[in-house]
Amino acid sequence: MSIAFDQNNSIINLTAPHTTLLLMQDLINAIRDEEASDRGIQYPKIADAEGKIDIGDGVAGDITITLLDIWQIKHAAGAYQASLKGGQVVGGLGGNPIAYVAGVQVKMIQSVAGIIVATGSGVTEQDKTDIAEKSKIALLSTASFP
Amino acid sequence: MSTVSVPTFWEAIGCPSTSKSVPTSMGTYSQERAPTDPFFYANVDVQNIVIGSRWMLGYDNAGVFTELVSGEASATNFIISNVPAFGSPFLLELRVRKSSAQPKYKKMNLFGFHSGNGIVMYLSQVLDPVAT
Repeated sequence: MSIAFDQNNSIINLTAPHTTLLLMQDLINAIRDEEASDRGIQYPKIADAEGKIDIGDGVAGDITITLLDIWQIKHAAGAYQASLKGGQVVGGLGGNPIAYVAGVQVKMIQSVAGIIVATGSGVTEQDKTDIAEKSKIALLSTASFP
Repeated sequence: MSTVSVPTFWEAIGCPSTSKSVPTSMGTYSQERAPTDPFFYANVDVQNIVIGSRWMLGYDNAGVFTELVSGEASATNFIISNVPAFGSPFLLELRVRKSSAQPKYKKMNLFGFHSGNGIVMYLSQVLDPVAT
């Protein structure tokens, strides 16, 4: 099997033909198959997935897979460059969805159509004080007083 | 309606139930039960499951999911009979997954407190728009 699941260690092992190119669609299909298997149903779910939003004209958004808990993807050992395409994978152990394997370089493009900032403009009270202070200094240095 | 029966612990290990009649000094009889014997057995009525779904009925045992019985749904409604309750209240968990073939559905975990009269677990599975 090219995508194998190690439930005890929370590792998704990749072997040929998925070592050099892993499509997110193939990954989520394999994850769902594992979760619904005789073995997998005994364990908590591996990942959440969103995406493929239909935006018309046969165009759909890509897939975002969120690995849960400490799950990670691990490539086979070797010296090569691997790619993840068709979306993005996030989450995993410490926020790292890809496990380190010596000699393997993994290319992953993470993109979103838009972002939501959780809080305000990002300007703090100290920033406001600093801006006011700098404005006052600039004003005093340029203004002439009779 | 099809019925699935849960083997008791003693049946599973090839022994009869520990419940037995014992004579007393007055010539009457009482029941003796092992601490591992369930409080009661009752049915779980599973309704509206997608045919082909894999399901597993179990409970939480000190943080570990423990399976009672599992199977693959061959009918929309079926009854799991002889489901034991090892406590009171006793929370049952029904895990349902349908990802082996199209159409695929999102996984579902359904919970319900077991009752001496049995319980009904009604499912409303949702299609998975991502997996193909």
